[in-house]
Amino acid sequence: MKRLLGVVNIDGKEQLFVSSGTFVGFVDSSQSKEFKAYNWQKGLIKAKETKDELFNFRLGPSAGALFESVVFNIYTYGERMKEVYIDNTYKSRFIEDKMINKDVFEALKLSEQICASFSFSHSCAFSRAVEEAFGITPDDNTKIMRLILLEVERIFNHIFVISRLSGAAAQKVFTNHLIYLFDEILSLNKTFFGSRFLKNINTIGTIKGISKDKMEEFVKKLDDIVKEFSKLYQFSLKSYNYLDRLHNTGILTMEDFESINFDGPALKAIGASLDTRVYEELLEGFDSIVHEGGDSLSRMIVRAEEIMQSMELIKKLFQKLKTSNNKTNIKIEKDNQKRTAIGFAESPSGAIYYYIELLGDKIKYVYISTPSMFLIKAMEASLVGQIFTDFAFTIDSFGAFFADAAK
Amino acid sequence: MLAFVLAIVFFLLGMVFSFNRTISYSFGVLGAISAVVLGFEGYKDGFYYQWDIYNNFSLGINIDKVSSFFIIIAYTCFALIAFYSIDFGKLFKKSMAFLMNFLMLSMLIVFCAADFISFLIAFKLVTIILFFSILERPNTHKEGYIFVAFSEASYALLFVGFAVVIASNGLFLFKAGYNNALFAVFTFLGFVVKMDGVPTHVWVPLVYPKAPSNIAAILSVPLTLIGAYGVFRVLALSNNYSYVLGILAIIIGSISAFWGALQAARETHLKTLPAYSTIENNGMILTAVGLSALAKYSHLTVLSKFSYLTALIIIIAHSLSKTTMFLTIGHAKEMLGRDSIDDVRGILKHISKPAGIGLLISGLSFSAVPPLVGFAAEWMLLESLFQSYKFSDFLLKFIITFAGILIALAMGLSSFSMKKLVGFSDLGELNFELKRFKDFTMKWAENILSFLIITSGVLSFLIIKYLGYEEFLDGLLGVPKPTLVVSSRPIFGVISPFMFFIVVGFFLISLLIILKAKNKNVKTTIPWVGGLALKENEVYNTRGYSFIVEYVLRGIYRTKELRTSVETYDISNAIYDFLVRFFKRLSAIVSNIIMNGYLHYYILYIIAIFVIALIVFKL
Amino acid sequence: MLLWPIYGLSKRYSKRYKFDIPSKPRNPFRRSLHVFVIDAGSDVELLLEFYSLMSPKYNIHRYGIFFVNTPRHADLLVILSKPTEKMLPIVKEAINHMPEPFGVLLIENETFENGIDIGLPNLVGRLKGNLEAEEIFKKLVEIAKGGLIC
Repeated sequence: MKRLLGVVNIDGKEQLFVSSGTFVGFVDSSQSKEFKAYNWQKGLIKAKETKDELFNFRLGPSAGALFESVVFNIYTYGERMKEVYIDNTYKSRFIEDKMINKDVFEALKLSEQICASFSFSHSCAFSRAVEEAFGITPDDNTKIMRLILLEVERIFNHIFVISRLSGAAAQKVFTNHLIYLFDEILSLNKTFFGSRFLKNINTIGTIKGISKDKMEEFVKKLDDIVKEFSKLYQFSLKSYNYLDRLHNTGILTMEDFESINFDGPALKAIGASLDTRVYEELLEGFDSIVHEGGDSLSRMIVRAEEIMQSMELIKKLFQKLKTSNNKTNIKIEKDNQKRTAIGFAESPSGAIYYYIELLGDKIKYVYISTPSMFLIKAMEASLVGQIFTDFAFTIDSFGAFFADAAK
Repeated sequence: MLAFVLAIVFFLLGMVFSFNRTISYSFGVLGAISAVVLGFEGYKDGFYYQWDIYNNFSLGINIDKVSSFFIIIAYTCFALIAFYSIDFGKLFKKSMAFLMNFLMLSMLIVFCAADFISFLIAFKLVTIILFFSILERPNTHKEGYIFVAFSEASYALLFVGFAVVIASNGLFLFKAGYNNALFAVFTFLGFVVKMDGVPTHVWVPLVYPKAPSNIAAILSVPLTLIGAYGVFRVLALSNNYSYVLGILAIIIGSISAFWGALQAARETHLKTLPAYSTIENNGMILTAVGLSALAKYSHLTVLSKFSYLTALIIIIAHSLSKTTMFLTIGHAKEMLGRDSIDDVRGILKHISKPAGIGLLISGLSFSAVPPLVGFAAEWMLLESLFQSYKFSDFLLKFIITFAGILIALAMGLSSFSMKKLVGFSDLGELNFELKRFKDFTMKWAENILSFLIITSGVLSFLIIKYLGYEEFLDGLLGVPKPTLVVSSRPIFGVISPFMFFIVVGFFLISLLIILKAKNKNVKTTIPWVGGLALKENEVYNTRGYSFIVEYVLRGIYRTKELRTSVETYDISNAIYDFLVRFFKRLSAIVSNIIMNGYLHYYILYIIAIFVIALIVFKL
Repeated sequence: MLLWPIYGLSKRYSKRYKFDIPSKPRNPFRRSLHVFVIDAGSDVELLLEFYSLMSPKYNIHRYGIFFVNTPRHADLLVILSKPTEKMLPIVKEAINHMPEPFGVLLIENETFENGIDIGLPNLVGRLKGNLEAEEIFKKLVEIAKGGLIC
């Protein structure tokens, strides 16, 4: 199963940024016929005119309800959504352009500003790319800490998405309890790591570590929270009203995957998985959780079970942590050599890929492939044919952040 | 008598001078005004003249209370339609002026006739004239024929009913049909077909959009008034059969009302929505008349009088409001050249204020908003249906309660449809180019009609007093004596549109004065739709408004969701489609059998005809 | 029926009024502060902080702080981060729709750029730095208790 991650201009030639199995790299653009996602990546698909009895129900840039600033152009003749076009340009901060001609440490800070809930995954992917470019190998402790914190990020992200879903389904007690748990994890992060969203922890080649006792305390407290979540989750599955609202809304199929190329829990809900964690040696025996169905309910179940799986992974990885805390020397050469590299990390909603070109220690070109770019197209495809009442469930079940896609 | 002769003279002059449209329509207006004066005279005194020709054959003119009431209402609307047509008729040919005057003359005969022959001749003339009027628009032959088909169906039923009377007594006068069962049934059914009872209503949504707007107003108001007039006469003449006729009237009436409102809720075409509203209102008139007959049968005289009064008030409400609606719609439609509700936006701001206000007031009257006359009419109908507990017969109680449920549903759905019609067309911004033409008389006709709707609602107690039903006026709790309308004695329910107008008017005017005096700085902004201004293709349309009803009732409407539109239709058309297909097949089969192309069969036919002719003429 | 208006009016105009000047300005938003949040191009950190404010731990409804979905119902406009180019007219339109009296609160993360300087009226407060829900909560409660003092 291959994915088209982007259409990039390298040395004046158009190349396709592709991932397929263990291969991540560039392919000549003559192979663009094999990728159905080529058309929308290139921007060749334009919004159609409203004709006959359709009118454009625009859910405007500022819609309230603590929602991000995007424009949903929904073409409808009443209750049913016939075509959806999402205009994401209101949140563009052009971070890729800002990264050019900055040194790698400043660019790392910028990469954390793309999307706060994925900030650790972004900084992980970026630092891995830089480490590959300069041939730096971080020590085992750094690698284990990075994996642990990636799982922590996954846990609080999934709790956030499930709380949004249940808020849309008007399960008020469940929602408020989940928001409370979400806030608890963020406070834990602040207490132990100094930042609620795990910002400013990761750096090139190493990571700000904490002592093993403190780490043990953190893992224990996180475990309590996840146990409480697990009890709540089992209880929520007994509410048929809640499940019925999520069942058969926002269905995606394998053909949608072929034409859009999304991944993450949205793909796992269809029955396939492109999780890059299977290639991690430190996570031996890792099996992705997949589910059949392709609707919002499957996506929610995948996320809930991934929370439990992440807790198990954290406990396993914690056993491997050593007490010593060797800091490797980070050597960034300031020569005029050209380097290119690709780095990736598994964020809660899919894999993030960074392609960077360096001249010395300054960035010359960056291309970021975020999972939300694909999930937004998947949103457009899955909303077609639904009624407006199911709008909130479909949108919230993907866990896509528009800031992430607008970069 | 003088007014009668004057009316006929004016109409004839209008027909003669039809080469100049203004003069012709003005004569029509004068004739209609004389007819109204005739009506008022006839309501006070009455007038009867019989002309015996030979043997039992006599012609007669009978202007009593019933016919003068109908003449007043129908000719008020006719006068305003003719006044409106002084400028509107300039968009059409000169023959329309001739046809309209002729039509007014024939209808006067219909309302005044006391014998069968003149009634039938005038009735037929009305059909033929309206056929030619519908054809004033190009490419409307099919719709004209459909209209003629249903008119002929009603004519045939009436003919049979009258023939039964002539065969039994040999008399040609209406009063000879007293207590004749077959006469009652056939003429009743004939007049119900004229009033567009379900399922003979299918021609209405097909013909009204294609006819010119003033002709559509005539089709909707005076033509169905003929049906109502006939039903009144038949029920007065057939006291022995009022049980059966009353039940029939209530059932057909309530089902028509409900069906009309149901189909109006899904329409997005400018003239089809008022067409279904016509069917609904005629159903309400039938229900009220039927209830009156049943109450008389059960010896409930007060209820019988009250529901009779209800029928009269509904007739007033429907006639005035429907005329206004069609005239204002015609005004907007001719200026914009469009006929879907979405395309005709911005009537109030851009096209003309009288048209916008007329459409608004008629829409409010149909939605039963106080203190307009439609509010009084619908309240009275619901009150008379509420009094079903007074009946002792269980079957009657059951039928009337069921009819009440259907009427209440119909009122809700019609309010929904009127919001759609008025809200989307009166407000908003223009989408298309305007073609301005001279519309002075059109504006004044609309103004006069709006004024009439408001005053006949506010002064409805005066109308009730004039009609002679003073027992239903009272005073209570600070409302002065004759301005309160009660629904029964002892008092069951009360309203007072007059007091409502005074009190609410006082508050509104004082509010206006206070607001103007404060003189605050008012900030105007665009509507908040997420922060950006609303583009043209983002405006909510009528299909979006009705889709929820179309989806929930998709079984009844047979809703089909296509790629960019939604299709619904009226399933009563299925009956006629089936009949048409059946008869086409039948005639194809029969003609294949008879005219089969073999020479021997044709020779056999010739020989058979010779033999039959020999036998018959020998005998 | 006509007696009581005359009685009432005569009582009203025959009384002498004592004008009492309030000692401190009244707070128009005691226990009722309606907040409209515009995400003018931030990363979602501030939005998630606002979302976690709805947790039962803070119990913002106790102070009368409510989130509304349209600026026409709002008393306080909260702008998260420096507006991008496309969002600037929308922020100004939202301020245009707010009824008097209202206030504007600017919140931004640590970024590389200078602060927001777009000439907004009625600026009530400005928060900058590595913010958390706790601090935002304190600021909102301060505004709700003390009124909009610009």
